[in-house]
Amino acid sequence: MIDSELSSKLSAYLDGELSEEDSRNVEEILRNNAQARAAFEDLRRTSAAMRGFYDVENDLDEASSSREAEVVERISRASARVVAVRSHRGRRMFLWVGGFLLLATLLVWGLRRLERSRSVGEMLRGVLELMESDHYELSSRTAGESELWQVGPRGRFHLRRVGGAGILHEGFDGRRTWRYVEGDRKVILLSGEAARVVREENPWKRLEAALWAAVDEEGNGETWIAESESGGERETIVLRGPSGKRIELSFDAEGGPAAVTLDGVAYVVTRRPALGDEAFTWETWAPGIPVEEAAR
Amino acid sequence: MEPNDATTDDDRDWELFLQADPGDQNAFRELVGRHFRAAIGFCTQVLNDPQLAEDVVQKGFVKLFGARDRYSRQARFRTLLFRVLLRLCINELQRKKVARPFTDLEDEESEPIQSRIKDGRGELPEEEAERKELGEMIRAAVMTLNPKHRAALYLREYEQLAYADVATALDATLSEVKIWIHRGRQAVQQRLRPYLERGERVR
Repeated sequence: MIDSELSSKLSAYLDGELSEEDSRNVEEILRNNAQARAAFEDLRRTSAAMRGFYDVENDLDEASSSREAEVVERISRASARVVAVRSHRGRRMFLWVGGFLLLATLLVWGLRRLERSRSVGEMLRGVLELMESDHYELSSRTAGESELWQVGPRGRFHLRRVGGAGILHEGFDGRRTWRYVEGDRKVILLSGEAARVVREENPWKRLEAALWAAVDEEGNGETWIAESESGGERETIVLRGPSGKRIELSFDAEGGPAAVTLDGVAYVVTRRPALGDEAFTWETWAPGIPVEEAAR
Repeated sequence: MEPNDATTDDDRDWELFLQADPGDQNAFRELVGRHFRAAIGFCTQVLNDPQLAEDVVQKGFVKLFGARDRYSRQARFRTLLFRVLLRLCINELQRKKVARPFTDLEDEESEPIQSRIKDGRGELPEEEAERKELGEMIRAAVMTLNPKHRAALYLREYEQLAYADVATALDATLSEVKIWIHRGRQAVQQRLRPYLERGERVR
């Protein structure tokens, strides 16, 4: 009787799965140990018997052999079908992904258009909100056109321009710049250069330029002085140029109106009461104009 | 089979497997045909059910082809096939609980795999009876083993795979394979003891 370790080694030796050194050891044992030799012989015969058994098991009879072709055919067809389906599924997946991306693109495009086309109601609500909060109004009038410009905190403004082309509204709600022509069903959101022009080329800027030109013939704009004079029930802002020219904008206790006519355009500036006296500073009245508050 | 032939065969297997076009049935037919008998033999040994073995072989090929994008050539194609088939066989055995000891199968009326064995090998009636008896003994011993051990024994004894290939096919370590094969042989040897002692024809 041999131990199980040697038995296991004999099995691996039979299969040629031992290292060279282990093989030499086993061969040495086989030479000197009759029991080991007998065990190895039993193992070899068992292995041979098993191979014979499997040979017989796998040796198909005639009927099974003819059936083999059928089964191979069936399996081949099933395999080809699954490859075709996978391939078709791949194409279908590609179409799905493509379709999805197209839809997503259309959705984004539509949303952007929606964002750019606000309803008139929303625009009017914004204007109303501006008018109900602290703000100034500047109206200017020429022969063929009149403008009303309302400006509130954080640079929000609304411009209503009446002229030969109809009534135009433009505005900035602190985030978006828009334009609306009365009678249209949509408000157009502006971006880029168009938005910049609307925000920067407005009546306030024109008044600013006209004031500038009025008090400073050289137009350098750097030496003119504004003085704010509070006296009694009126408050006057005096703009004085280097040559001594001066323009006064005088508000009453209610905040307005201050009127001035420059180059044939009559400007009326009204400070809306909602702002209160404390809120009335040159910076809020004419933001961005370089000025020294000589007297306060 | 020479190693070079094996390599060439395996090259062809992988070429057919990876490039077979659904429009070209011949490629599928060739690949399935090359491995059909080995696959059926393997599954029949593990399942002890020829009909179920056919179904599993079909499932195995379909599974392989269905996921062929995920396979790369890291082993011999046949080893990969055995690996897939073994998993399917074990699933079937667990599902249908057909893995019963041989003693439970002896009285079964359904046709066992030996019905496929070719009769009439030119043997004398006594020789044929003896061969069948020996076959039954080996089958009885093999069927006492668990499916993985049965598979290991089959792959080694019949397919003549090296232990490393058996390990790859069975998703096992070399040590496990070595033990399984050894224990399998011991179980068969135990059954064949009377024959071995008489020194009769077991080749």
